Amino acid sequence: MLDALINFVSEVLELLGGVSDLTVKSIRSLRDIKKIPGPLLEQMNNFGVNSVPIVLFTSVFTGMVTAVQIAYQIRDYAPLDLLGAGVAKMVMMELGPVLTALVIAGRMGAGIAAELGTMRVTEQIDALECMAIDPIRYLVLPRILSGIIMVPILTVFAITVAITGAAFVSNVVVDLDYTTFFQGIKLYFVPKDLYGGLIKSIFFGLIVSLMGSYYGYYAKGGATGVGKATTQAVVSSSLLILLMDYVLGVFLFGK
Amino acid sequence: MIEIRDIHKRLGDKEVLRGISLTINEGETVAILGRSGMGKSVLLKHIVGLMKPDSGQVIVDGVDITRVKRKKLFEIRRLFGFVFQNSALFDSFTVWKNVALPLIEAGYDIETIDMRVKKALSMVNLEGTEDLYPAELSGGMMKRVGIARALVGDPKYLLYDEPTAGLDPVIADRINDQILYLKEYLKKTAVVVTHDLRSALKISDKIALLTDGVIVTFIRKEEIFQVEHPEMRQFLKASGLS
Repeated sequence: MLDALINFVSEVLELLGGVSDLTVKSIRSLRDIKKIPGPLLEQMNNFGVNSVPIVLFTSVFTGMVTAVQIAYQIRDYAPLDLLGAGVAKMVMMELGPVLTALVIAGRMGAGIAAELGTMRVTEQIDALECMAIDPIRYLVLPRILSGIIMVPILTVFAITVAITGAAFVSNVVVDLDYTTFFQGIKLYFVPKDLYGGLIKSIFFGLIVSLMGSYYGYYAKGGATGVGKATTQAVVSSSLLILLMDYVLGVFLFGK
Repeated sequence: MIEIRDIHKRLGDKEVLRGISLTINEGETVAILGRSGMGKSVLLKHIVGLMKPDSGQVIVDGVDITRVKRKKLFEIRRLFGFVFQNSALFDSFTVWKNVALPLIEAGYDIETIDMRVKKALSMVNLEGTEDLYPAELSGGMMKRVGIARALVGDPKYLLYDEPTAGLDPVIADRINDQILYLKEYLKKTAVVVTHDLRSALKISDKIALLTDGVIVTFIRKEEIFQVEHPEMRQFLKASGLS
């Protein structure tokens, strides 16, 4: 029992130390930011453009089911005019940022870990070192920056799609016209709902890209090691997203 | 000149290098011979600073690379071209970009890069493969792209990690010819890690035999048949040379 506890604590400390070390090295490599645009654009394409279909699919259904369920809950004691406001707040503050981040954690977090892990075990990262190319600057930094940039953009896209899907379902299923739906959003719109959600998404983007990079960059042990790194990246990102969601929720909307 | 002075390295419970000392003079090709798992690749990685010894020094052109800062280490690394055992080509890049990468990162203009990439590829007889991806290459071609990438920066030292491992004898011999051609044509200093004695005899000037983390003999290749160490006798016997 004591051994298990000691192992757990030492693993957590090792993880914290490793992630902090990688973060510090990434910040240091910002000195060479002039060399980053090429790899950064490539990663933004991977992170952003290529994730559009899955984010679209997730958010449209999230928006639609949110509309149906909020309508079901408020039907007996509140006017349906509030439906648009309810959906928008829910999607902007919580569902948009969290679901987008979880989907991206599954897609890109795993992708980063698998790609960097494979590069580690096939000595491609060593090859970069031998060519006097800083692998942190060349591989890790563009991925982290693209996560921080693209997850908020995808979140805005997800919010827009979810609200559009909700408006459609509200019209077709709940029989609420579009004007009333969008007027409800306008009437109760508070900017903090949107930027609070976007602040969350910046942190989520950092978590996904950093955890994927950390587990991939330090992967060892061949194909098994890469598989393990990929799983750990997705699991740890997902848990940290939920933990950070609570912390930021309290910080941003707690008062 | 590369001087390795009394380096020790422990990986996990095993002391992989136990006091290795070796001097590689300019213009020489030194083969480090040994069975698998004897620490040959670990030793090679110490020469280019990919690994740091627990104790001892690696001195390249008078600079102890075990004590320099990362920026200086990168400067020193530009003196080296490293050919990896499994080529370590970047899967998502074409042959051209794989070879060009060190030059792109060093900030050369595109005309110079293209000229030098084509020259490096022609040295390894791979003209016309610029647009292929690593997945479209054979094992021997991948090795040669790896050699071209190591050559493109015009390094002073070339390090080869098992250049013929995993290749059939015909292709392996072609790679040996390639290395020999580069040695004679470019007059570069080279270190070749190998477990293939015939290959070592063909391409090197000197042979160091590494066994259990120790260099047990370091001789000119002509002296090999006089070596009495049982490990070397086994190598000679297994290679059909005694």
